[in-house]
Amino acid sequence: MSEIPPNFDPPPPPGPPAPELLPWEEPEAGFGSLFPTIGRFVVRPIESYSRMSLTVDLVRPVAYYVALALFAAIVNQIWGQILWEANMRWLQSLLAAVGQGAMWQQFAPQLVRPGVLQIVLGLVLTPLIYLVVLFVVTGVCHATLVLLGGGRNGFAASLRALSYTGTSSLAVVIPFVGGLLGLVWWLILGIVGLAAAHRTEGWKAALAILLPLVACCLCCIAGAVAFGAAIAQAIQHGGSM
Amino acid sequence: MTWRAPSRTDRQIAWLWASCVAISAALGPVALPLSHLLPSCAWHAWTGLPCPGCGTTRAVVRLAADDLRGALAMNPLATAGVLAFGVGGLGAPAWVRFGGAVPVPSPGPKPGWLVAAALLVLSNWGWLVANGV
Repeated sequence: MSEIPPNFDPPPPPGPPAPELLPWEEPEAGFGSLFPTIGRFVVRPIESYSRMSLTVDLVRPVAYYVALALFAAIVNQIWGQILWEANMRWLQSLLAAVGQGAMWQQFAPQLVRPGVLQIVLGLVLTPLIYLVVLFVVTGVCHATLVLLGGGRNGFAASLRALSYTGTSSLAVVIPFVGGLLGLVWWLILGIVGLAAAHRTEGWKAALAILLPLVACCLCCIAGAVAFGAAIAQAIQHGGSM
Repeated sequence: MTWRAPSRTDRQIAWLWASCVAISAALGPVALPLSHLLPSCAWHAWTGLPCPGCGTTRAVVRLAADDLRGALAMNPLATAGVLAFGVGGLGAPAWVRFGGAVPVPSPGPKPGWLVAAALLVLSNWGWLVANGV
């Protein structure tokens, strides 16, 4: 029988297991970890946001957003090339449906299929524009959240949460209506993300996302309603043919 | 509100802010000539009244042409926001580099500030309506 040394201290009981990080936020995570992270945000967004780190290097979530913006730009260029004629016909009928047929006459000569230079320029510029939009939108939403008393973890937490809303860029794989679906998906991810990042109530996160949209962009809402009405009218028109 | 020393994350945010200002300034000469291609405001077309964001694009175009007075006439709040974004982004990296304190808002709702913000947006909207922007 072995003897216990006189000054033996029993090992401390094991603490709770460390929370599992997102694959993209794990130390030494490579580019390949981007794909399981995207999958998690698509399938289980609430759980994914609860695992989002508030201390990992800020470059990680921002890089995730930029990578998905680049993906969206590539897909948009592909759809633009494949569906150019269909897009033009659709745009023309859409403008006619909302009584803006004259606008088509005005701008049609300027709408030309993009060449190689425009495509490359688009792929370079789109992620940069997305980055500026991310920063500005985060600033406005975070300011609203602070006014509502929900921004306890600071601007960086809001930036992290809204960076992962870049997942909604995947909606562009659906032609024609992908952008609109992506907007709705973005709103949902934004609300879930802000609520999780600041451990705040969902209604505060929802107001932080929606109030600036209502206050500053009534035109966007009216445009979305007009867009929906135009689609409905176009479908009805197509169905009666 | 309290203040604290800047962290590594604050420095990253400051540099990101400055980068966004630099990108905006660099893209301005390309984007602004295309601004006339943007569709007109659907709210304005429906109601005959400007929406709270009306005039923002025209304000940015005038700011880019060094016409501050013209920009303010188009949308004062948007002009102030764009100026704050630009000036803040240019100064932020230097501010945190030299140890400038970072504001930390007090926790809890701020009804006074919320009312002030709502009044600001509404009075700006009133200005746009009164001036027929």
